[in-house]
Amino acid sequence: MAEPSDSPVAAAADPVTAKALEALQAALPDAVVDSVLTGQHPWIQVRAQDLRATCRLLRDDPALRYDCCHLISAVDFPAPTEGEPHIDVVYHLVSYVVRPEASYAKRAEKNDPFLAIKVSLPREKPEVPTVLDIWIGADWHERETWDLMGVRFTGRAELPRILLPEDWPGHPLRKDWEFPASYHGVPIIPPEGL
Amino acid sequence: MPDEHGMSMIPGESLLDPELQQSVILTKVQWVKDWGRRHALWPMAFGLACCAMEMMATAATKYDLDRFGAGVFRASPRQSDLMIVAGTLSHKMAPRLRRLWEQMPDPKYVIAMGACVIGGGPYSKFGYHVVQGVDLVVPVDVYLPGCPPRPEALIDAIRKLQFRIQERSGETLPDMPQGLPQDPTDEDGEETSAA
Repeated sequence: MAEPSDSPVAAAADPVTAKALEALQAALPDAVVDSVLTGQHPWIQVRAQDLRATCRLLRDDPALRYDCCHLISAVDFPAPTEGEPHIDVVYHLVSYVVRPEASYAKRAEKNDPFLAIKVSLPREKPEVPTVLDIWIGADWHERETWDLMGVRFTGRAELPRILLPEDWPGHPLRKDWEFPASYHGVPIIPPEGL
Repeated sequence: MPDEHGMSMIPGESLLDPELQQSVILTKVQWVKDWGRRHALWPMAFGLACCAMEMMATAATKYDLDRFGAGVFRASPRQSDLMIVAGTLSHKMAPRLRRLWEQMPDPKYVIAMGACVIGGGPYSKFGYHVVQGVDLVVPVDVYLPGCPPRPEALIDAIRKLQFRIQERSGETLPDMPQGLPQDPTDEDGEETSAA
Protein backbone atom coordinates (compact mmCIF):
# COMPACT_ATOMS: atom_id res chain seq x y z
CA MET A 1 0.00 0.00 0.00
CA ALA A 2 1.35 3.39 -0.96
CA GLU A 3 2.22 5.93 1.67
CA PRO A 4 -0.43 8.63 2.03
CA SER A 5 2.07 11.28 0.98
CA ASP A 6 2.53 9.59 -2.44
CA SER A 7 -1.13 9.88 -3.23
CA PRO A 8 -2.42 12.98 -5.02
CA VAL A 9 -5.39 12.92 -2.65
CA ALA A 10 -3.18 13.15 0.40
CA ALA A 11 -1.93 16.65 -0.17
CA ALA A 12 -5.10 18.40 0.97
CA ALA A 13 -7.83 17.48 3.37
CA ASP A 14 -11.06 16.43 1.78
CA PRO A 15 -13.50 19.39 1.98
CA VAL A 16 -16.58 17.41 2.96
CA THR A 17 -14.69 15.53 5.65
CA ALA A 18 -13.23 18.80 6.93
CA LYS A 19 -16.77 20.17 7.07
CA ALA A 20 -17.83 17.10 9.06
CA LEU A 21 -15.02 17.64 11.55
CA GLU A 22 -15.92 21.32 11.90
CA ALA A 23 -19.56 20.52 12.53
CA LEU A 24 -18.56 17.89 15.10
CA GLN A 25 -16.25 20.23 16.95
CA ALA A 26 -18.90 22.94 17.00
CA ALA A 27 -21.68 20.69 18.28
CA LEU A 28 -19.69 18.34 20.53
CA PRO A 29 -16.54 20.17 21.62
CA ASP A 30 -15.12 17.30 23.73
CA ALA A 31 -16.04 14.41 21.47
CA VAL A 32 -13.22 14.37 18.94
CA VAL A 33 -10.08 12.60 20.21
CA ASP A 34 -8.00 12.43 17.04
CA SER A 35 -8.42 12.79 13.29
CA VAL A 36 -6.66 12.41 9.96
CA LEU A 37 -8.46 14.13 7.09
CA THR A 38 -6.20 13.27 4.15
CA GLY A 39 -6.03 10.19 1.98
CA GLN A 40 -8.70 7.98 0.47
CA HIS A 41 -10.01 6.93 3.87
CA PRO A 42 -9.95 9.84 6.33
CA TRP A 43 -10.95 9.07 9.90
CA ILE A 44 -12.16 10.84 13.03
CA GLN A 45 -11.80 9.20 16.41
CA VAL A 46 -14.46 10.09 19.00
CA ARG A 47 -15.14 9.09 22.60
CA ALA A 48 -17.37 6.05 22.98
CA GLN A 49 -19.99 7.95 25.00
CA ASP A 50 -20.31 10.53 22.19
CA LEU A 51 -20.65 7.99 19.39
CA ARG A 52 -24.42 8.11 19.06
CA ALA A 53 -24.55 11.92 19.13
CA THR A 54 -21.78 11.97 16.50
CA CYS A 55 -23.58 9.53 14.25
CA ARG A 56 -26.87 11.40 14.53
CA LEU A 57 -25.18 14.65 13.66
CA LEU A 58 -23.36 13.18 10.66
CA ARG A 59 -26.57 11.62 9.38
CA ASP A 60 -28.87 14.60 9.92
CA ASP A 61 -26.63 17.58 9.07
CA PRO A 62 -28.00 18.86 5.72
CA ALA A 63 -24.51 19.56 4.39
CA LEU A 64 -23.16 16.10 5.28
CA ARG A 65 -26.03 13.59 5.15
CA TYR A 66 -24.03 10.42 5.81
CA ASP A 67 -27.05 8.25 5.13
CA CYS A 68 -25.38 4.85 4.82
CA CYS A 69 -23.34 2.86 7.31
CA HIS A 70 -21.28 1.02 4.76
CA LEU A 71 -19.39 -1.26 7.13
CA ILE A 72 -18.56 -1.77 10.77
CA SER A 73 -15.25 -3.39 11.53
CA ALA A 74 -13.07 -3.84 14.59
CA VAL A 75 -9.33 -3.99 15.21
CA ASP A 76 -7.81 -5.87 18.13
CA PHE A 77 -4.77 -4.39 19.91
CA PRO A 78 -3.83 -6.88 22.64
CA ALA A 79 -0.37 -5.34 23.20
CA PRO A 80 -0.16 -1.85 21.70
CA THR A 81 3.15 0.06 21.70
CA GLU A 82 1.54 2.73 23.87
CA GLY A 83 -1.52 2.76 26.07
CA GLU A 84 -3.75 0.01 27.42
CA PRO A 85 -4.88 -3.03 25.40
CA HIS A 86 -7.89 -1.92 23.43
CA ILE A 87 -10.25 -2.77 20.59
CA ASP A 88 -11.08 -0.13 18.00
CA VAL A 89 -14.48 -0.21 16.34
CA VAL A 90 -14.52 1.53 12.97
CA TYR A 91 -17.69 2.81 11.28
CA HIS A 92 -17.28 3.38 7.55
CA LEU A 93 -19.81 5.96 6.39
CA VAL A 94 -21.00 6.95 2.92
CA SER A 95 -23.27 9.75 1.78
CA TYR A 96 -25.35 8.84 -1.22
CA VAL A 97 -26.95 12.28 -1.11
CA VAL A 98 -23.87 14.50 -1.18
CA ARG A 99 -21.76 12.00 -3.14
CA PRO A 100 -23.95 9.70 -5.19
CA GLU A 101 -21.14 7.62 -6.72
CA ALA A 102 -21.66 4.12 -5.43
CA SER A 103 -18.57 2.19 -6.46
CA TYR A 104 -15.29 2.42 -4.61
CA ALA A 105 -13.35 2.80 -7.88
CA LYS A 106 -15.43 5.74 -9.03
CA ARG A 107 -15.06 7.39 -5.66
CA ALA A 108 -11.30 7.01 -5.87
CA GLU A 109 -11.36 8.49 -9.37
CA LYS A 110 -13.24 11.56 -8.19
CA ASN A 111 -11.39 11.82 -4.88
CA ASP A 112 -14.60 11.10 -3.00
CA PRO A 113 -13.41 9.36 0.13
CA PHE A 114 -15.29 7.26 2.65
CA LEU A 115 -15.37 8.59 6.19
CA ALA A 116 -14.34 6.36 9.08
CA ILE A 117 -15.49 7.07 12.64
CA LYS A 118 -13.39 5.26 15.23
CA VAL A 119 -14.02 4.51 18.87
CA SER A 120 -11.50 2.90 21.19
CA LEU A 121 -12.81 0.47 23.81
CA PRO A 122 -11.13 -1.27 26.76
CA ARG A 123 -10.20 -4.80 25.77
CA GLU A 124 -11.55 -6.49 28.93
CA LYS A 125 -15.05 -5.16 28.42
CA PRO A 126 -15.59 -3.78 24.91
CA GLU A 127 -19.04 -2.21 24.98
CA VAL A 128 -20.37 0.43 22.66
CA PRO A 129 -23.92 1.79 22.20
CA THR A 130 -25.72 0.50 19.14
CA VAL A 131 -26.36 2.64 16.05
CA LEU A 132 -29.12 0.32 14.85
CA ASP A 133 -31.82 2.99 15.21
CA ILE A 134 -29.69 5.48 13.26
CA TRP A 135 -28.78 3.21 10.33
CA ILE A 136 -30.91 0.07 10.08
CA GLY A 137 -28.22 -1.43 7.87
CA ALA A 138 -25.87 -1.56 10.84
CA ASP A 139 -27.73 -4.61 12.17
CA TRP A 140 -25.78 -7.38 10.47
CA HIS A 141 -22.49 -5.51 10.82
CA GLU A 142 -22.95 -5.24 14.58
CA ARG A 143 -23.83 -8.91 14.79
CA GLU A 144 -20.75 -9.83 12.77
CA THR A 145 -18.51 -7.65 14.93
CA TRP A 146 -19.93 -9.34 18.04
CA ASP A 147 -19.59 -12.78 16.46
CA LEU A 148 -15.97 -12.52 15.39
CA MET A 149 -14.46 -9.88 17.71
CA GLY A 150 -16.63 -10.02 20.81
CA VAL A 151 -17.64 -6.36 20.88
CA ARG A 152 -20.88 -6.01 22.81
CA PHE A 153 -23.36 -3.52 21.32
CA THR A 154 -25.66 -2.24 24.04
CA GLY A 155 -29.14 -0.82 23.73
CA ARG A 156 -30.47 -3.23 21.14
CA ALA A 157 -33.01 -5.94 21.85
CA GLU A 158 -30.81 -8.91 21.05
CA LEU A 159 -27.36 -9.55 19.69
CA PRO A 160 -27.19 -13.07 18.22
CA ARG A 161 -24.21 -14.39 16.32
CA ILE A 162 -24.51 -14.08 12.56
CA LEU A 163 -22.11 -16.64 11.06
CA LEU A 164 -20.84 -19.04 13.70
CA PRO A 165 -23.04 -21.48 15.63
CA GLU A 166 -24.48 -20.19 18.89
CA ASP A 167 -22.38 -22.55 21.03
CA TRP A 168 -19.06 -21.66 19.36
CA PRO A 169 -16.30 -21.05 21.94
CA GLY A 170 -15.14 -17.43 22.02
CA HIS A 171 -14.62 -14.91 19.25
CA PRO A 172 -12.12 -16.22 16.73
CA LEU A 173 -10.72 -12.99 15.28
CA ARG A 174 -9.36 -11.93 18.68
CA LYS A 175 -5.58 -12.24 18.52
CA ASP A 176 -5.44 -14.39 21.65
CA TRP A 177 -8.23 -16.77 20.62
CA GLU A 178 -7.24 -20.41 20.99
CA PHE A 179 -8.36 -23.26 18.79
CA PRO A 180 -10.56 -25.73 20.65
CA ALA A 181 -9.39 -29.37 20.62
CA SER A 182 -12.59 -30.42 18.90
CA TYR A 183 -16.03 -29.15 18.01
CA HIS A 184 -18.96 -31.56 18.40
CA GLY A 185 -16.69 -34.56 18.09
CA VAL A 186 -14.79 -33.36 15.02
CA PRO A 187 -11.13 -32.87 15.98
CA ILE A 188 -9.34 -29.61 15.08
CA ILE A 189 -5.58 -29.57 14.49
CA PRO A 190 -4.38 -26.11 15.59
CA PRO A 191 -1.81 -24.28 13.43
CA GLU A 192 1.79 -24.46 14.62
CA GLY A 193 3.72 -21.43 15.75
CA LEU A 194 0.75 -19.16 16.14
CA MET B 1 -15.57 -62.61 -21.55
CA PRO B 2 -13.44 -60.46 -19.24
CA ASP B 3 -14.08 -56.77 -19.83
CA GLU B 4 -11.35 -54.15 -20.19
CA HIS B 5 -10.82 -54.04 -16.42
CA GLY B 6 -10.15 -57.74 -16.08
CA MET B 7 -13.51 -58.45 -14.47
CA SER B 8 -15.23 -61.49 -15.83
CA MET B 9 -18.69 -60.66 -17.04
CA ILE B 10 -19.84 -64.22 -16.41
CA PRO B 11 -18.50 -65.92 -13.28
CA GLY B 12 -17.79 -69.59 -13.85
CA GLU B 13 -17.65 -69.04 -17.56
CA SER B 14 -14.75 -71.36 -18.24
CA LEU B 15 -16.56 -74.32 -16.67
CA LEU B 16 -19.31 -74.18 -19.24
CA ASP B 17 -19.59 -76.28 -22.27
CA PRO B 18 -18.83 -74.08 -25.33
CA GLU B 19 -22.22 -74.85 -26.82
CA LEU B 20 -24.01 -74.06 -23.58
CA GLN B 21 -22.33 -70.62 -23.52
CA GLN B 22 -24.37 -69.67 -26.55
CA SER B 23 -27.68 -70.04 -24.76
CA VAL B 24 -27.17 -69.92 -20.96
CA ILE B 25 -25.80 -67.14 -18.74
CA LEU B 26 -24.62 -68.05 -15.27
CA THR B 27 -24.10 -65.33 -12.68
CA LYS B 28 -24.59 -64.45 -9.02
CA VAL B 29 -27.50 -62.43 -7.73
CA GLN B 30 -25.09 -60.20 -5.80
CA TRP B 31 -23.11 -59.53 -8.96
CA VAL B 32 -26.22 -58.51 -10.88
CA LYS B 33 -27.36 -56.30 -8.04
CA ASP B 34 -24.02 -54.50 -7.94
CA TRP B 35 -23.98 -54.26 -11.73
CA GLY B 36 -27.29 -52.44 -11.62
CA ARG B 37 -26.22 -50.38 -8.68
CA ARG B 38 -23.03 -49.13 -10.22
CA HIS B 39 -24.73 -48.09 -13.42
CA ALA B 40 -27.55 -46.25 -11.67
CA LEU B 41 -25.85 -44.11 -9.02
CA TRP B 42 -28.19 -41.37 -7.88
CA PRO B 43 -26.06 -38.56 -6.49
CA MET B 44 -27.28 -36.27 -3.80
CA ALA B 45 -26.60 -32.65 -4.69
CA PHE B 46 -24.40 -31.55 -1.82
CA GLY B 47 -22.81 -28.43 -3.25
CA LEU B 48 -21.22 -26.36 -0.49
CA ALA B 49 -18.96 -23.98 -2.41
CA CYS B 50 -17.25 -23.42 -5.76
CA CYS B 51 -16.70 -27.15 -6.44
CA ALA B 52 -20.46 -27.34 -6.88
CA MET B 53 -20.09 -25.29 -10.07
CA GLU B 54 -17.91 -28.02 -11.55
CA MET B 55 -20.36 -30.63 -10.31
CA MET B 56 -23.17 -28.80 -12.12
CA ALA B 57 -21.03 -28.50 -15.25
CA THR B 58 -20.42 -32.24 -15.10
CA ALA B 59 -24.13 -32.90 -15.03
CA ALA B 60 -24.86 -30.43 -17.83
CA THR B 61 -24.88 -30.98 -21.56
CA LYS B 62 -21.21 -30.81 -22.43
CA TYR B 63 -19.97 -33.48 -20.01
CA ASP B 64 -23.32 -35.24 -19.58
CA LEU B 65 -22.97 -37.34 -16.48
CA ASP B 66 -26.04 -39.29 -17.58
CA ARG B 67 -23.79 -41.25 -19.93
CA PHE B 68 -22.47 -42.99 -16.82
CA GLY B 69 -25.85 -43.43 -15.21
CA ALA B 70 -25.06 -40.95 -12.46
CA GLY B 71 -26.83 -37.83 -13.68
CA VAL B 72 -30.03 -38.04 -11.66
CA PHE B 73 -29.24 -35.49 -8.95
CA ARG B 74 -31.68 -35.77 -6.09
CA ALA B 75 -32.60 -33.09 -3.58
CA SER B 76 -33.46 -35.68 -0.93
CA PRO B 77 -31.05 -38.02 0.84
CA ARG B 78 -33.71 -40.73 0.96
CA GLN B 79 -33.65 -41.10 -2.81
CA SER B 80 -29.89 -41.07 -3.34
CA ASP B 81 -27.04 -43.48 -2.79
CA LEU B 82 -24.04 -41.28 -3.63
CA MET B 83 -23.11 -38.12 -1.77
CA ILE B 84 -20.74 -35.86 -3.73
CA VAL B 85 -19.49 -33.49 -1.05
CA ALA B 86 -18.43 -30.55 -3.20
CA GLY B 87 -17.04 -27.51 -1.46
CA THR B 88 -15.82 -26.17 1.86
CA LEU B 89 -17.30 -28.02 4.83
CA SER B 90 -17.61 -25.78 7.88
CA HIS B 91 -17.99 -26.95 11.47
CA LYS B 92 -21.48 -25.51 11.48
CA MET B 93 -22.43 -27.66 8.49
CA ALA B 94 -20.73 -30.88 9.64
CA PRO B 95 -23.56 -32.17 11.90
CA ARG B 96 -26.07 -31.51 9.12
CA LEU B 97 -23.93 -33.39 6.62
CA ARG B 98 -23.65 -36.30 9.01
CA ARG B 99 -27.38 -36.31 9.55
CA LEU B 100 -28.17 -36.26 5.83
CA TRP B 101 -25.67 -39.05 5.28
CA GLU B 102 -27.42 -41.09 7.96
CA GLN B 103 -30.73 -40.57 6.17
CA MET B 104 -29.42 -42.10 2.96
CA PRO B 105 -30.39 -45.74 2.51
CA ASP B 106 -27.66 -48.38 2.44
CA PRO B 107 -25.57 -49.05 0.47
CA LYS B 108 -24.29 -45.49 0.21
CA TYR B 109 -21.12 -43.95 -1.10
CA VAL B 110 -19.27 -40.67 -0.59
CA ILE B 111 -17.00 -38.81 -3.00
CA ALA B 112 -14.87 -36.12 -1.34
CA MET B 113 -14.57 -33.54 -4.10
CA GLY B 114 -11.91 -30.85 -3.91
CA ALA B 115 -9.07 -29.84 -1.63
CA CYS B 116 -11.29 -28.36 1.11
CA VAL B 117 -13.24 -31.56 1.61
CA ILE B 118 -10.17 -33.78 1.52
CA GLY B 119 -8.16 -31.95 4.17
CA GLY B 120 -9.35 -28.39 4.68
CA GLY B 121 -7.57 -27.04 1.60
CA PRO B 122 -6.42 -23.43 1.87
CA TYR B 123 -8.31 -23.14 5.18
CA SER B 124 -6.61 -26.15 6.72
CA LYS B 125 -4.07 -24.25 8.78
CA PHE B 126 -5.66 -20.98 9.89
CA GLY B 127 -9.30 -21.40 8.98
CA TYR B 128 -10.95 -21.86 12.36
CA HIS B 129 -14.30 -22.73 10.83
CA VAL B 130 -13.39 -25.45 8.29
CA VAL B 131 -13.46 -29.18 9.03
CA GLN B 132 -10.03 -30.59 8.20
CA GLY B 133 -11.32 -33.39 6.03
CA VAL B 134 -14.83 -34.76 5.53
CA ASP B 135 -13.52 -38.21 6.47
CA LEU B 136 -13.63 -36.98 10.08
CA VAL B 137 -17.41 -36.89 9.72
CA VAL B 138 -18.43 -39.61 7.23
CA PRO B 139 -16.49 -42.48 5.60
CA VAL B 140 -15.17 -41.56 2.15
CA ASP B 141 -14.94 -43.93 -0.82
CA VAL B 142 -13.15 -41.79 -3.41
CA TYR B 143 -10.94 -38.74 -2.80
CA LEU B 144 -10.92 -36.32 -5.72
CA PRO B 145 -8.19 -33.64 -5.42
CA GLY B 146 -8.23 -30.31 -7.22
CA CYS B 147 -9.22 -26.74 -6.53
CA PRO B 148 -11.71 -27.21 -8.00
CA PRO B 149 -11.41 -30.49 -9.94
CA ARG B 150 -12.42 -30.33 -13.58
CA PRO B 151 -15.54 -32.18 -14.77
CA GLU B 152 -13.34 -34.83 -16.38
CA ALA B 153 -11.86 -35.52 -12.95
CA LEU B 154 -15.30 -35.89 -11.37
CA ILE B 155 -16.29 -38.32 -14.14
CA ASP B 156 -13.08 -40.24 -13.41
CA ALA B 157 -13.95 -40.35 -9.72
CA ILE B 158 -17.42 -41.68 -10.46
CA ARG B 159 -15.94 -44.34 -12.78
CA LYS B 160 -13.50 -45.33 -10.05
CA LEU B 161 -16.37 -45.62 -7.61
CA GLN B 162 -18.28 -47.79 -10.07
CA PHE B 163 -15.34 -50.19 -10.41
CA ARG B 164 -14.94 -50.20 -6.67
CA ILE B 165 -18.59 -51.13 -6.17
CA GLN B 166 -18.15 -54.11 -8.48
CA GLU B 167 -14.79 -55.16 -7.07
CA ARG B 168 -16.07 -55.06 -3.53
CA SER B 169 -19.27 -56.88 -4.42
CA GLY B 170 -20.69 -58.58 -1.37
CA GLU B 171 -18.22 -57.06 1.13
CA THR B 172 -19.39 -55.52 4.35
CA LEU B 173 -19.55 -51.76 4.76
CA PRO B 174 -16.48 -49.87 6.02
CA ASP B 175 -16.10 -48.96 9.66
CA MET B 176 -17.67 -45.76 10.92
CA PRO B 177 -15.26 -42.96 11.81
CA GLN B 178 -14.69 -42.19 15.47
CA GLY B 179 -16.16 -39.10 17.07
CA LEU B 180 -19.62 -38.58 15.70
CA PRO B 181 -20.79 -34.97 15.65
CA GLN B 182 -23.99 -34.19 17.49
CA ASP B 183 -26.46 -31.81 15.94
CA PRO B 184 -26.73 -28.84 18.32
CA THR B 185 -29.87 -27.53 16.67
CA ASP B 186 -31.87 -30.70 17.07
CA GLU B 187 -35.05 -29.17 18.39
CA ASP B 188 -37.44 -32.07 18.17
CA GLY B 189 -35.34 -34.13 20.54
CA GLU B 190 -34.63 -36.98 18.16
CA GLU B 191 -31.57 -39.11 18.62
CA THR B 192 -29.20 -37.99 15.87
CA SER B 193 -26.08 -40.02 16.53
CA ALA B 194 -25.47 -43.33 14.80
CA ALA B 195 -25.96 -46.50 16.76
